[in-house]
Amino acid sequence: MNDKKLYLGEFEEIVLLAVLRLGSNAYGVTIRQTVEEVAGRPTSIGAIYTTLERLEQKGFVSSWQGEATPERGGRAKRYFKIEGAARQALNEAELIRARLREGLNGGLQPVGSAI
Amino acid sequence: MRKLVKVCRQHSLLLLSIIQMVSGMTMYIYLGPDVGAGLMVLTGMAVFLMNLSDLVLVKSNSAQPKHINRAVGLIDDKRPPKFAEYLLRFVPKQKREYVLGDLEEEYREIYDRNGKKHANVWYWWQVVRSFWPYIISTIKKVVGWGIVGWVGDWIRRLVQ
Repeated sequence: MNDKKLYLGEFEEIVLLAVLRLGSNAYGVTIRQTVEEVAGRPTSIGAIYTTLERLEQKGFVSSWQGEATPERGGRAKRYFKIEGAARQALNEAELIRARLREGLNGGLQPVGSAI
Repeated sequence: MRKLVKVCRQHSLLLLSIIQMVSGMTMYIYLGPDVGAGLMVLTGMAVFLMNLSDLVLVKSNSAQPKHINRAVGLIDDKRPPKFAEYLLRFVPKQKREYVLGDLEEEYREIYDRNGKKHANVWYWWQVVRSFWPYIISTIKKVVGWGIVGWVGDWIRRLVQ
């Protein structure tokens, strides 16, 4: 795989972590709700699907068709699962951040405080 | 027959909105932002009126049996706004099924929790926010066909 593809955008990282957190119950609705409730980031279902498609193209997630339920008007779900490359990319992103933070010597202000 | 009239009416509304949007974009490209902006306003009004007529249509048909959920065979009136659902036809086929299912599932949750009005507003907001890029790209494809572009060019020459 091209090394460039291993880099993650901020929203891609959030979506990947949501999928990882949800485990076997990761599909459109639950992913959107997790991003909104846990990450505190209001988002639309369209944005979630666009990001997931991009992640699937990069080989970070895989998907399969689930069951159709009455509350979905008899339509099927599409479940997502994290792939090994995604774990590697998430770890790498974390490492990069840690490396960049090193040597800041408390230069970062706590969230919400005046600059 | 009544069903046919209803279907025809829904299709004509969609056709009208597409014509409005395509002409708005064409005028914007060929005649400048002022004319284009004006037409975009008209487009917005058309979408609003269509939404309104959709609501009237639903009200006038309230005496008829409500929607039957085919999956369970139950009579069910917790259905998302029809025109909003119709707009989702702009979403690529391969993911339309999942998107519609996800939106309907959440719509029902909100319907139960906060009522129909809140659920309708949420649904429309999701459609506008999520799928405007698909609508724009479809319009661009249509404009790219050249027919509308040619008409726009012809109008521009007439105006000049």
